[in-house]
Amino acid sequence: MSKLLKYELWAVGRLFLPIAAALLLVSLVARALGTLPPETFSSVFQVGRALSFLLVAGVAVFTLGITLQRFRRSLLGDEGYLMFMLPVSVDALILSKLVAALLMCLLGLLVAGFSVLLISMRDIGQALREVAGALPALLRGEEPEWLQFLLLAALAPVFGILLCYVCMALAMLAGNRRGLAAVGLFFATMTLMQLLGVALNSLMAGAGLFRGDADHVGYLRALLWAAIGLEGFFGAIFYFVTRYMLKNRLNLE
Amino acid sequence: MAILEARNLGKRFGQKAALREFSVAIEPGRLVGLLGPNGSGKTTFLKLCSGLLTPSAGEILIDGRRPGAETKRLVSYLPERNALGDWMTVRQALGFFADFYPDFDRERAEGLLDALEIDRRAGLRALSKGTKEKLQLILTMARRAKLYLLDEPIGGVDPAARDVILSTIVRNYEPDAAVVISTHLISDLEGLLDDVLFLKEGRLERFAPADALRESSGGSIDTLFREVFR
Repeated sequence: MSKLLKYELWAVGRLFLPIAAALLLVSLVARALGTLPPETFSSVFQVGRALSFLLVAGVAVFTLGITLQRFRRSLLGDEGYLMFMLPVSVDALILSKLVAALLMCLLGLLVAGFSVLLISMRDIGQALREVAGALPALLRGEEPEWLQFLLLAALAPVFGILLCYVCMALAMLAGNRRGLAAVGLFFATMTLMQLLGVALNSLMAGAGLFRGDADHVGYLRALLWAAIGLEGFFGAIFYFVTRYMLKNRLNLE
Repeated sequence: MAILEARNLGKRFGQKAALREFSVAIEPGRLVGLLGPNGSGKTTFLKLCSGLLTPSAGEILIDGRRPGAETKRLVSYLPERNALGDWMTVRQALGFFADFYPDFDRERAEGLLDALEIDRRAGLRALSKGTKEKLQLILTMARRAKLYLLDEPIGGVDPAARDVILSTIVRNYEPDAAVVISTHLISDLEGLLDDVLFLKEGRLERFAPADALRESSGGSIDTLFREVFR
């Protein structure tokens, strides 16, 4: 697994790091232009700022693109002929991709967040100190729903990546229409998940968990736990279906 | 015990039968020619043996076991396409094989790189198609495997390169290993083969020692091939 991860990080890094570096560079330039008198360089500054925000969006799209491409090309495409001939388990193949994609998401988030700070905050040190000051309260659990939000946010990329994986793995059954089938499966599953969320919300409201404003926080916490449970449950299902498909129904074109 | 055994093996892609059920056993130490015209099921058979496809019927056994992580230690497979990631350099590709295959003989690989004049520092993206094919062959043959599965190793190269590739194969496979080479260019392989396996439209047409086939037909394997696939 560590060897697989080493090569996966190399493959991902050479695609991802240049765009992350470009984002930081443009943000730094935009910040530097922001220190000049606005009337002198206002249009350049505006373009720089717009470009930085575009790049932040670009990083998100690029991260998703690399995640999909690495799974599709490296396991289900030509590189799959190499990867599936390695004497490693299917679990190791999936997990190395997943861990590398998660690390890329985390790095992307950090780089994008730092870029936004660079562009929008005059005193970054002060902003970071404020965040650091709020952390102890969050960790002591004075506002425990923040921890739930954090857990939900941490599980969200795992869930999303595994959803993409399972759609691509199941699409192997669709013969020559794999791409179309994967996209169709993705939207069908997302719609199903939305419906499930709405149904769960109605069920909880019907069960009397929400009795007006006084119960608002309690209801929110229950809802968050339910969402965390659903993400974890379906994430596990996606993982095991992907594993089954790659282990027992592999059909490389 | 056979190193490769197919039992009632069949494969369908939707309604189309790519391989119609047949059984065959290949013993260690044999060099087997997997012969047939385009579309006869040669690649499908090799992909089933490698575990890259799942059989629709029957089973494949490698050294008595179904394809899995354990059997992949024994099998060295050369696909008919470039499977090496473009993100690697030649040196990294060697490191990749050395990391995952305990039977990878790095010294042998380095020697073959020198013999075929392939630059270790070159990125795979920059290599020509022919050089990539040679590199894949080097990586495949530098393993001390028990079973080599080579899919069209001489299919897309010029006659001069064919000789280099064939001599690389013949000089480098382990004596107690079995080699299965798929091709439709029979004359180039004719003198090397111990056994011949003819596939026609997914059916096993013949499987016999090359000498026996020559005797029974009174001609070369190439001539017999032309008769069978006329």
